[in-house]
Amino acid sequence: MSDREAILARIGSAWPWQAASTEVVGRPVERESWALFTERLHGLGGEVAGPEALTTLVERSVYSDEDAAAYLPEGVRCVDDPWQAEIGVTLVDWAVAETGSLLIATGSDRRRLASLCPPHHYALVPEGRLLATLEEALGHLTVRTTVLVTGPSRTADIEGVLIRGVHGPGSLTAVRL
Amino acid sequence: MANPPMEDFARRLRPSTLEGIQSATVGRVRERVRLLPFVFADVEAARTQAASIKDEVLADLGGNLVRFEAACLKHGIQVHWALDAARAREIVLDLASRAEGRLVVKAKSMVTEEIHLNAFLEAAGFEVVETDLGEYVVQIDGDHPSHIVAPIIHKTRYEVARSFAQKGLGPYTEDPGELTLQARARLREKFRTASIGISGVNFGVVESGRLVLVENEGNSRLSTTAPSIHIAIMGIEKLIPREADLPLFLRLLAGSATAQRMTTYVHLISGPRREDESDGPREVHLVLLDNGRSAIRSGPYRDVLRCIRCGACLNVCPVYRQASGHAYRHPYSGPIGAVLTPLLEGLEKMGDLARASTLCGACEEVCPVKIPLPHHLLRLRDEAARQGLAPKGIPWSRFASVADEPPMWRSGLTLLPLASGLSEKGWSEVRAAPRREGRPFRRWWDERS
Ligand code: SF4
Repeated sequence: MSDREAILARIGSAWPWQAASTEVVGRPVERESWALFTERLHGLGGEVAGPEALTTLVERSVYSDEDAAAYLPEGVRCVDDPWQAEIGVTLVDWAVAETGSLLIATGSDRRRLASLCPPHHYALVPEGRLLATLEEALGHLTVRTTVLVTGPSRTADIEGVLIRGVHGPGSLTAVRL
Repeated sequence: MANPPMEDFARRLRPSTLEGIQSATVGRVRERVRLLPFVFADVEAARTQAASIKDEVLADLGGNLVRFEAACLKHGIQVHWALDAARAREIVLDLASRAEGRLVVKAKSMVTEEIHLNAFLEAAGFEVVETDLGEYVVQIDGDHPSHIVAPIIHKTRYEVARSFAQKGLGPYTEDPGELTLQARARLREKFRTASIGISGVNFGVVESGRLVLVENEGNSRLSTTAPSIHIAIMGIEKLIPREADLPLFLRLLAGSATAQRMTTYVHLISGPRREDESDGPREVHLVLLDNGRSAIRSGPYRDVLRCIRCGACLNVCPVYRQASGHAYRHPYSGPIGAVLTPLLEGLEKMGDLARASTLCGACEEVCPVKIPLPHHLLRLRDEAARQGLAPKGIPWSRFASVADEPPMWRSGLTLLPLASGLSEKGWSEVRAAPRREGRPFRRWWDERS
């Protein structure tokens, strides 16, 4: 007998189950508001900026999603090694006001390590891509592997002291296009 | 190390260790209580719903596993089944041996602790590196994690500073920020060169075959993205039925574990890198581990399988706070460990853990999936006594003497919070917990010595 058969045999048949009658509600979030998104992301140590922020990337080494490269100004040094880049630039699929989160799917023009290896992450949010709640954002999941990023990388392992930038980026800037 | 009884163990803990655990756990409890009402309009309803959804999964666990497997396969996630720990280790070794390199980076995972995976892979010639900061410290110290969520809650920054300097991570520093940077630098090299990444799974979504991993540091994403092979190990109970259930569970886990609205990274994995993609693992393997879970499901303790490993019950537990996680002699500590460990390892060997409780009820009050932990602890005690395993003549406190009578379980549990000075219902009780909860345990303690 394979382990699969053995486990399923041990589990045996199903028993009846009755759904709980309660309906769960998150705290209502009025609308998809940039003010709320900004407040949440600030609370986590992240920044929200306009497209002009991208000019600060000139002369610096950038590892970027291919579909984000079009938004980069002249003079940015694009590199092919995510481990050597100072800045990672990604294009965001959806931003979530309620939690200050960014939903980023993988794809042919995407690079997973862009939001992960470089110490600074610039996440580009195109117009019309802000949603109010987590429910709405996760409702947009595709069959692609996806990450929901909420603030810069952090740890509190040593005596509970909050430190940003442990393995992932220590700074996160959401850029409104 | 021998396994001394818990109380002896606790008596030998240094005051600095106890203070650290005390302040970290009390802080976490307070922050969680403050946050959750901002996250859910009705926290109680959210817990009830989450418990019910986990029960839904467990009711038809076989069917759900088969459906989940089919959905995983559709994405190209290769599924392996392991009846016990030995089989899971073999599967992992077999998969890892096919990789080109011998370097394994590991994301924090309780289930790999449960099956003692690291030592096994190391004996087979692999270099296994824990990459969560706390787990890394534990590993270089040859120590064990003492908390489900905060592995080095028992260590001070000075201890971390000493071992980092000893291991040559950088110049001696007591600054947590500097220490973190030293670990970051050392581990980046490992992420870059490892050919195998091993992780656990927080939730497996039945309908979509998605593996959901949550974390704050980025090490779990790196471990499951940079190497060419990702091996995920998951207890068979960790399923949720629908994608639509994710927001509820993600909010409850982040809120209960670390008082966050959302963890920094939620990695939603649906398969290896696709042909049109330039990075990500080329193979994703999922090991479905039973290791006693199917037996637990068919018995009276089945609802412990709802557990989402948030660690909230550890933080509120007076016994955990006074004895530390190591006293439980197993990766799962605190109230959930006191119930789960005897079930996984046998009453004979671990049944004494069920006695390490004041039955104050705080754990059940905070549990996001409403596991009746005190009830289970009492049942385990009773079972141990019936099997003649409980030592005779222990002068239990009045709490325990109520507990020794099974028919009194329910009424005893209802009365206990009143007896210790609490009256309101719901999670707000926990606000008062840090002050009240030490007493019964200390009394029990004093009476024992
Ligand atoms: S038993 Fe409940 S409170 Fe304890 S770790 Fe599991 S889910 Fe969290």
